[in-house]
Amino acid sequence: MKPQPIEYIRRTRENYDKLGFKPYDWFSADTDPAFARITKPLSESKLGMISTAGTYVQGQVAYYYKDDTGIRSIPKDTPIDKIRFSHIMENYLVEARQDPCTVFPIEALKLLQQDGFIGDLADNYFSCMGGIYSQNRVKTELIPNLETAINEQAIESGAIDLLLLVPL
Amino acid sequence: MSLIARHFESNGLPTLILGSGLDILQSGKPPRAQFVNYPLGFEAGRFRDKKNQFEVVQHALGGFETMLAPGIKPMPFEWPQGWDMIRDREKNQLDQRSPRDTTPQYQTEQDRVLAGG
Repeated sequence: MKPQPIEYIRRTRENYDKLGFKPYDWFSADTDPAFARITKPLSESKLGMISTAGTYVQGQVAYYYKDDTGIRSIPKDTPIDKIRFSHIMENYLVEARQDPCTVFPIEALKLLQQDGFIGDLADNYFSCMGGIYSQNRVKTELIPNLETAINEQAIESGAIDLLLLVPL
Repeated sequence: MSLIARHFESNGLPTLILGSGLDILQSGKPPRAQFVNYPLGFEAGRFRDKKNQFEVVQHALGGFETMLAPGIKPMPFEWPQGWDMIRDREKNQLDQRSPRDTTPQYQTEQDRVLAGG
């Protein structure tokens, strides 16, 4: 039988209640999102990526688990065996810590560019933590941090046309 | 992640989430999302399966060209063995997350040393 999608929000709420944790307030949108049209085919576009799996490169300072709103820059040519994860949901990272490409598709993106499926890749991808309790801090600290990094990279090596987002 | 996607999209940058938490995506209403029904931690493909990882990411990225309005599209990938693996591992374990504090959580002790921690 085809597995049904897991109800993560309900499951987390029930688990947190049992454990006595403060309820996690998932973002619930009350308006429709903006929608930006693509201006050229994927094969002519430059792609960036953001991971919320707490991805870092060996040698960088790891993330901490209490509302860390910092970001890390992950060069697109980082060797796979140097990619690490520090994320509060460590139980979801058992395999990713052996094969980072299950949640951070650095290798697939490289192959897709070599095949001409993607026009170009950003020099650096960016990562951050997920599971941040304060939506306000996501809006006032984390998103501006990401925006600054993406804008600075655009000045240094050209703007991206598309942004892939891979959560944990 | 939906908050981030909505922000950049409102700046005119097309975004696409490749995610495995359908209810979380539905709650956040991102501009574009491709839903792969794999366990969390495998959003970009099966464990040690480079062919599947390539196919999942390629299919997901195709959404930039095929999705003409906001939405969440289910992708045609299934992985029963992956669900079995997770079920066996999580049996009788209610929650395994670590405590929330401000100490960097290195994956290895060597990482901590190399970062000067």
